[in-house]
Amino acid sequence: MPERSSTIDEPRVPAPDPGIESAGNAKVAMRLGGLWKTYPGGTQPAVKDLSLEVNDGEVVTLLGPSGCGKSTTLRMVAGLEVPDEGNIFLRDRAVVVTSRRLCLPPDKRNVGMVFQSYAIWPHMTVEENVIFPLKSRRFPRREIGDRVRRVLELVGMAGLEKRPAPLLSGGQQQRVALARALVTEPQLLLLDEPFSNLDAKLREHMRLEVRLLQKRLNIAVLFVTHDQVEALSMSNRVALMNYGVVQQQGHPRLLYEEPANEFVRDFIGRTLLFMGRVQSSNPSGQIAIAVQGAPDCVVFGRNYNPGGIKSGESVYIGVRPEDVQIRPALESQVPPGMVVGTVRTALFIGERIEYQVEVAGQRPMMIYGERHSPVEEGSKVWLKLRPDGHSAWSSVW
Amino acid sequence: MLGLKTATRSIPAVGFVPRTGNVVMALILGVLGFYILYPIVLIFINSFNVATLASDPPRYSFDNWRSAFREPLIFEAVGNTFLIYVLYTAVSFPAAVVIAWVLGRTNVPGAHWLEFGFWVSYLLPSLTTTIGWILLLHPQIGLLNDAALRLGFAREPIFNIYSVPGIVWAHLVGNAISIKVMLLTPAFRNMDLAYEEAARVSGASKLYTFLRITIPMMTPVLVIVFMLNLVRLFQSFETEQLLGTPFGFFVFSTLIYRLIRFTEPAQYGHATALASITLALIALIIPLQRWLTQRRHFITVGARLKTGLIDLGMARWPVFYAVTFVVLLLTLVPVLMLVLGTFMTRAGFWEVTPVFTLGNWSRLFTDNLFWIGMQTTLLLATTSALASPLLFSILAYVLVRTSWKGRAALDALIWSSAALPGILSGLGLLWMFLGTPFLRPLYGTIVPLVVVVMLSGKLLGVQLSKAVFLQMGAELEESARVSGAGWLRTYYRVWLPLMMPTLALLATINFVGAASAASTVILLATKNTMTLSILALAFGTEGDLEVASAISLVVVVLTLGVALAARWLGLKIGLHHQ
Repeated sequence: MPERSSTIDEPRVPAPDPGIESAGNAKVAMRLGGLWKTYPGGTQPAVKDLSLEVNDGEVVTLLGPSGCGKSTTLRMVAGLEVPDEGNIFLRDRAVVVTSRRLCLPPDKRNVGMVFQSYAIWPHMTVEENVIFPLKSRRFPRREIGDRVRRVLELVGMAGLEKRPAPLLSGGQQQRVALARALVTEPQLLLLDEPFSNLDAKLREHMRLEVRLLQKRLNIAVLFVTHDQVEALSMSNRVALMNYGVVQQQGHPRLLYEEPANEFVRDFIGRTLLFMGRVQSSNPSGQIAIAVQGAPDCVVFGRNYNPGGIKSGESVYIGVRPEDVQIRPALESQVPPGMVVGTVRTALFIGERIEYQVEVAGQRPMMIYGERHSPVEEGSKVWLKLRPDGHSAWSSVW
Repeated sequence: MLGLKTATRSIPAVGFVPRTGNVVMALILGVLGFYILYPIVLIFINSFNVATLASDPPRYSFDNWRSAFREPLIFEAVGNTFLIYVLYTAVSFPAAVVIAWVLGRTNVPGAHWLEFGFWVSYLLPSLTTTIGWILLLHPQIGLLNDAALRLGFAREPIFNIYSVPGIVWAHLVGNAISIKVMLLTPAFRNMDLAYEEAARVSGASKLYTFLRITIPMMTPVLVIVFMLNLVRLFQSFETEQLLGTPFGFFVFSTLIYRLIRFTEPAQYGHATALASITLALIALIIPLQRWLTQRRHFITVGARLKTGLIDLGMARWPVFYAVTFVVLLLTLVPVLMLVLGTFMTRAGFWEVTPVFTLGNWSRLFTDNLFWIGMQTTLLLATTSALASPLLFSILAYVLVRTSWKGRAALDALIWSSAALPGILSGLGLLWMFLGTPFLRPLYGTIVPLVVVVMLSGKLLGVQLSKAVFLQMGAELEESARVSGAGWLRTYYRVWLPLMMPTLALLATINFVGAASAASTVILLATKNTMTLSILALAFGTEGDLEVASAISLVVVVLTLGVALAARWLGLKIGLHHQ
């Protein structure tokens, strides 16, 4: 079972003492401590008191809707934005300590960054694009050729050194952007929504390639995306942000199965909310809830609300759609442990059928069904909920 | 029969049925071609005409060319034209690049207003700024010389605007810098910031990024702006007429004017020979210009353009002051000097009693010539403002929205005509009106002036309108046609309202251009069809700087007044229109 993550209510990892130049832990590739950022003219901070660590070889993703502060955080690490408060350490080096007015410019931080638009310089060839960081950082001439060749092989662009940048496809541009970011062997790789400009198939392919590359190089990655499939599939840890605050961070599975609050619950995947009543709870935190309108149907879940939930209280049971099975009702008598409903619409979307089901006393539900066992619109169905693994909420939001 | 009506078109048994498009295009090409090409042809032909007077029957020989080649002044004039151009471009181009970068890519305070200042400078007629700066840098009466002498900084006048450096300076403070700033600033502003950020994250310093990324990426735009400005090589007239003629320094345009107006008998032969040489040079430049400006350049603004400003840090305010100083030199300084000049009994003379007077203004307002000039100017400017935008938008429509044959020729014709210097248009049209029997009665009337002024500025007008059509897309028109509207209805119910901001902008530009036109109309104007600019030029050349200042001020009030009124009425003039 993955470790319980830190949430906004738990004590956060304390920021390192600004008086200490060295972060003291060589395994940590990047440490952010108490970062704050408000844009001029903005009424709310774009980033509020953010603390985060990325270890060597780890992929940490900043996930969230537009405007949540994830890109701002990435840009502060790169040196393209200056935080109002807080510290940034790269490995054992302080690059930002606001209390000491220390803020290294981007050219002095030795991070690699892939931009959303790739920013491949159109007046240069592939080779010239990749050589640029080596020349800017004054790498010895004898090393340059070898590094460029190796990194282009790594990203699968060997043989295209002399190709002018405007003649590259989207996928090729991305590879060159990666090569450029990796050629100086930085301690940290920053990816700013690098797949959003690719078509769906290429996106899937490049995600896999980048993940394999990262594992091979064992490089620390800070990744920004609004796409949760990307975040969940590529990351060792995900930090979900909203309004500048990290709502929950931890292993992707943790955010999916044990959301810390309603925002996390609703942002990550889909959640069905069944109304029910708490029957009992045990010391381990497990709650037995009877589904409203189907008293025979009792499921178990955990309460993730800070205030706790009492017996007899009305609650919402958070159920993932894949944890509900749908079957045609064979008779009028509802079997124990099942909920009866009526199919209003059935949408074939390829790998499954999505049913909108009306259940008495409940909100309309979107249930997934197998494509080989379709159910007719208008027919009665029985819904079988998984017996445990759900979440309990005292409110919809 | 069911009474069904079927639309049939009778196909003639023999012959060619012209399609509407071909007819209209032939008409457009014919009219424009006649207006643009016929005068050029006439110039060439008449360069071989050795008849002494224009009204005499023509006699053809090479005598004009022989004597032209023996006349050193002619080649000197061509050389001087290049000299002035190279000198002011060498200074104005880098200056404009830096200023445009500052305004477009950095967080300099007041960038919005500074850019507007350059727009104002562009609108100010070059006559205005030249006269204003004469009052500052005249060797005898210039205010700066006077101040330097009185304050003991010098024993002799330091500045002499009647010199090559003086002419170059007048160009710099005229349009040379401002027009380039206006063209380059939007281009700098639209460059994706990610390119520079990627360089910074890759380890490049700000300066290295500017030199290795920003400038190379802007190079295609810089080339385009340079080439667009190359057409101005032969177009300059007023500045050289005011500043060069007094010390015998002629450029191509002023020499032609002198040969025709100030030589007795008029040297049409030499003038047309000189014009022909110039046309040949222009003919070499035009294809190069078109090729360079129509090549695809690789600065593409993607859907995810990131705009942002480069932080100048501590340099913000010093840079602001520096650019403001430049703007003031280009705008406020000459205009203030003009105002001063109009109220002085003798401009630059502080010992005269009274120093200040309203006499210049009363002299001007009681001079009938002034009112003739005002009337002519207003008529020309208003006609141009109202008619030209409509005409240009129709030409743009033909070029963008139709698939008629001959569009490439039309585009080339419009482009080439922009390269034709105003004085040559005037010369060619002069020959056309004098030499064509049914047009001769129109010479001396306002008609030739209206024609020439209406068709000036067609390149900018057509290009701006084209851009609007391309941006708006075909579907707006298609939906109107599908809904049953014919072409005319679609044009005035769909296109015209949507194009109103552009048309209004063009109207303003054309008004200003027509009001301040000099070289295009000077050969065609007569005493009864004088414009205010020509009047100002005449007074300025004769040394009556006070009245010249007054007339220039009237032109400034007229042109700037219209531009500011248009802006106040909500038109996005200059700053947002690219």
